[in-house]
Amino acid sequence: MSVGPTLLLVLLGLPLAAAVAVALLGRGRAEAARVIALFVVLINLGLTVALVANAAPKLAARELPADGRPLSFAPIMVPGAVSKDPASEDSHRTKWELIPLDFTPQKPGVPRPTNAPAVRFYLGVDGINLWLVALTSLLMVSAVLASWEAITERAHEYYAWLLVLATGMTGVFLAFDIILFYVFFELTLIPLYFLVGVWGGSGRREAARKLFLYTLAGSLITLIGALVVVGATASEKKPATFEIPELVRRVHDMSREAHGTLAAAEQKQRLEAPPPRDIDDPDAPPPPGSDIAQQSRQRYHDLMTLQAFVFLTLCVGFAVKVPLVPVHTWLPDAYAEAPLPITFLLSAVLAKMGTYGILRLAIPLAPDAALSLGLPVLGSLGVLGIVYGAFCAFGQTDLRRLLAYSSVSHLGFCVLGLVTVTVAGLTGGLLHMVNHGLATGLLFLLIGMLADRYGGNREGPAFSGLAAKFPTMALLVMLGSLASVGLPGLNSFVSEVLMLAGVVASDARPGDGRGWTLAVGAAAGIVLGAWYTMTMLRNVFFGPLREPGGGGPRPDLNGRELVAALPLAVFCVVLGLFPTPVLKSVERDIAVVATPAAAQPPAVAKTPVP
Amino acid sequence: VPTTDPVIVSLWDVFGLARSEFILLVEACILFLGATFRTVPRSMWSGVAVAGLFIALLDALVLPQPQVPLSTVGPLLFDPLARLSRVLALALGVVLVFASDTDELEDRVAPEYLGCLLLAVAGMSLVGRANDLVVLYLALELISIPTYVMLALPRPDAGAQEATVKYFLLSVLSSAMLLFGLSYLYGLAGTTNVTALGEALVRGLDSGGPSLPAVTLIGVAMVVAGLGFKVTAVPFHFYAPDVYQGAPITPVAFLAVLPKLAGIFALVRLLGYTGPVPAVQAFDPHLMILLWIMAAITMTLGNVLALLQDNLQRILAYSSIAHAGYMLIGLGAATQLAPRAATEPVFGVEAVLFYLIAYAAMTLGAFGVLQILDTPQRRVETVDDLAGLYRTEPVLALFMSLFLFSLIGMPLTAGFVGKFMLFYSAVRVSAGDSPFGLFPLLALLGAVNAAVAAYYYLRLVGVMYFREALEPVKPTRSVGGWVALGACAGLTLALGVLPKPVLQATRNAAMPAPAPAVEEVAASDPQR
Repeated sequence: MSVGPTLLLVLLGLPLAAAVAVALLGRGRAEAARVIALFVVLINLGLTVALVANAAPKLAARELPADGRPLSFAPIMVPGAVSKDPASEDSHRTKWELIPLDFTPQKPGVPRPTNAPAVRFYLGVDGINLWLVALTSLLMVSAVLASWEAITERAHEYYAWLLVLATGMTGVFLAFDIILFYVFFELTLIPLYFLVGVWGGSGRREAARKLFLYTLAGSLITLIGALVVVGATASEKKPATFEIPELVRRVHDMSREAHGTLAAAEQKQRLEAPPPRDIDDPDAPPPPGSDIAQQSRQRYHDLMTLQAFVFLTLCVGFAVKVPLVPVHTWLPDAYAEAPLPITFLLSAVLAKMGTYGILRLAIPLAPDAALSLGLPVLGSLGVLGIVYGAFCAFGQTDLRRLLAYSSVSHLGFCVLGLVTVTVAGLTGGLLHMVNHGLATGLLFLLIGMLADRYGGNREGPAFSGLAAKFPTMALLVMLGSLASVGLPGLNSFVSEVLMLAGVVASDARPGDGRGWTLAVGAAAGIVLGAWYTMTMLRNVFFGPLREPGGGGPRPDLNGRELVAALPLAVFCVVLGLFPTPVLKSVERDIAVVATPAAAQPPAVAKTPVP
Repeated sequence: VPTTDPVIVSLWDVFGLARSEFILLVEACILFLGATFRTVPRSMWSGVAVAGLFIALLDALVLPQPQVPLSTVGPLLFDPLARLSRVLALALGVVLVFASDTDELEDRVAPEYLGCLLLAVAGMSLVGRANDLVVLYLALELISIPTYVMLALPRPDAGAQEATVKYFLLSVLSSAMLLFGLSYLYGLAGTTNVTALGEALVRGLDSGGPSLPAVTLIGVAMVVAGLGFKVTAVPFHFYAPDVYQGAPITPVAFLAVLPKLAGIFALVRLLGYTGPVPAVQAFDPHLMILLWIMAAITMTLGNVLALLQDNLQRILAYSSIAHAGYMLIGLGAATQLAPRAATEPVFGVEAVLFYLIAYAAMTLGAFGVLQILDTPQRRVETVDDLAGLYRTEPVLALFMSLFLFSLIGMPLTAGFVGKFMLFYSAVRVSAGDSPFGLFPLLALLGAVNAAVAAYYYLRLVGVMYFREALEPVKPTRSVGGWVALGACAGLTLALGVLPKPVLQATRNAAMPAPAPAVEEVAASDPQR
């Protein structure tokens, strides 16, 4: 009996239970609240380490099928699995129903069919979500430590909401039911709304409302996209399913079938076509077989329309969450007004929910549309975001806003990598989610700690030469900056190179010729990123010492702050030097997403692993 | 199990068919008589009313009910939909009686008010069970007439009077339209029996006859218009904001829920979604387009106008209009899906019924909070009056947030499961590959609307939690109010987390009745 499923349930349930307990503590027990919160996130971190240790070798050991095209996602450690036998296909599915939709009475003794239409409590782990769950657990510890002294008012509520948020974020990554995914996706909004609205800066109410409404509007459209997929794949023989792996399988089947029949019909028509007729003769009978070809062309066209609709609606919600450029306007407010630990989580984890959604849902559930619309629409928006975000970041004086815009820039890159739908691009995009979480998370934490030392002042021009005063902090900021710039040897380098390789590789696909323009834009973005990051670093930490509010003794990072920041820095280096375990464990699941593009030369997938 | 004669010959037979409702009528008479004793306190009358409702519930749930062997002749039905509407009406009655325990209702008027409430509950129960145009009409009037009294009774001031008169005039107009429509349907089919009427219309089409004459459409359109008033569908919604704002909260909470539920049940019955032969087929595609347009306009107008309001009761009025629009999505989708209901996990009608229950819980809850907060010493009328509620009344603020989040449709609340079902039924209407059917677009519009609605609901949450009060609220002491509130909150959460029992009940209620075998019909038909 494996402990995996229980691990997942505890990972989700413990913070929620603790949140209720903390909320019931009442006012004036701030100390107890934060100790409990810290205790819980540390337990969760421990559980996550156990999870990774348990799952990563299993995931890495999975074999790719001979043709390199696995049919669908196959999560392991599924709680309530239909079959206990890990070799069975049913071990990847759950029988726990959340919203049952089928009430046909069963004959006595006949078990309820496991494919009855129902929204299920379907959790699991695979290569794609394992590392994001790990990132969440790790960063939650930092978030609690960063809140330690910053939050004193209504502290019990604060920690309760923070723990609810932890459950929501973990749930989004673990969910394998499309509605359950949506449920967790939305559930993160309520804690965020209160966390920003109660404990934020002066413009907090406006910021909280914007954050909530933008995300809700986007995700409701995503919900419709999800329902359309479910509705379109259901038939009398195949009852409606909300399981993501099954949906992916059905969508890919439909796509393959439509391509196949179209090709066959056209082939047939070409073979049987009579000698060329007078095209001006309208009364001539149509060539034999043309109605079949016409039909299959129509069906193919319908399917492509469906996929385009699904792809675009699904992406709306994710684009808001990331955010991509035209729908990013909630971000500067939210990032600047939220309390620091929340800004930290927003950029390091919550933004990843958007890119994760693109990877887990949008591309696999609309594979053909992802190929035809991905790069032209999302890729272009991504590049726009990279460049626009970089220029905006350069123009900011507020350090937190600077980092906020740099997030827009980096995540645009991430989206660009994903929508290439190449193995390299997808792997790079996934890795970049983790890397960006670590590097930018580290920077947000440190900038927050810096601002704490100057009464919340985070105006860049007010500072200069702080390296002399806070050597440890300066060192860590420099590490974070270099990591986010993409210095070889640090984590972002690996993912950025992979993504660029993916963009270039997408050029090799027939019909795609725009990849290189996007690659040029993205590469320009990297240069711009180095420009504003290094400028910030030089102005704030080097040069003659200048600080607002006069000098005076101010301590360097204390033990608590060091514990919050150091693990992130360490992982920035570790993932830069040894990315292989991560890359290995995601290979099979990335192959699922990249299936339609499987025709590319295998060399591309293997290129730049240092 | 006693069976009645298929042809009802005497009033006595009807009495047996409507036992639970008669219990309520007797109870109402006791309350009206009791109103002459001026010294008895309000709580005692509430007790009497609740006792009566429980007796009726006991009768409805435990005692055997007479069977109607042939649904094409009986005036009242006992099918699952009828059972659901009856239990729902009685349960709603219990909650409403508890919610009436406020100082708005003086001891002097309490028995009359409660008596009227019981009559309306009996009316709603009968609406869901009616199988005859005349019975249906009378049952609807049994709701409307007590409502006029209830609106005017608690507070005899100009505002309440204006609201009552407005409601009265428009309600009478809508009844006239409904009657007009019913007369056309009767003229077409030659029968007032709803089941037989539906069958006649469908068979008329099936037998290769010409498509139904245009008068059918006039009839159906008039029926939808008349009932549209009850469900506050645009353009029959004009009374709602004014009446909700002008009348006292206690009857408004009643008005927001019970007539709307009855209206939807009447639509489901009359348009024949659940008959053995779904009569909706006969009205295709006109009814579908009519409902589509009404749904789109109702939810959009309701939500957009709610954005502009500052008065809490007006906000809730427009919100109730918007929610009627969501329900119409399901009814519209069901016009297409009802014929293949057996193979569709969600075909629209059960989604609407589920949403009705969810709507009742969350709307009654939201009104219940206002009812407790609003006192003559400290009015709670506008959004700003809620400021800082979190500090002074944390539990009420928490309840209110729960109801508001449910109205938005956030997961783990009833509102989410309801919207999920409605939108899914809409998406299923185009089962083909193209997503650009009418109904998926309506679902998309619904989603956009839900996001718009979030703006004004969230505004209330923000005011309660992020702002400080200028003057602390002085809530009334109302044990019954709290009981009702607790019940609504419990239901809102339960429907969101464990919706299975209610889903099953609504699904059973919505499934079209199995068609009786032909021989059986022939054997029991006295005409042959």
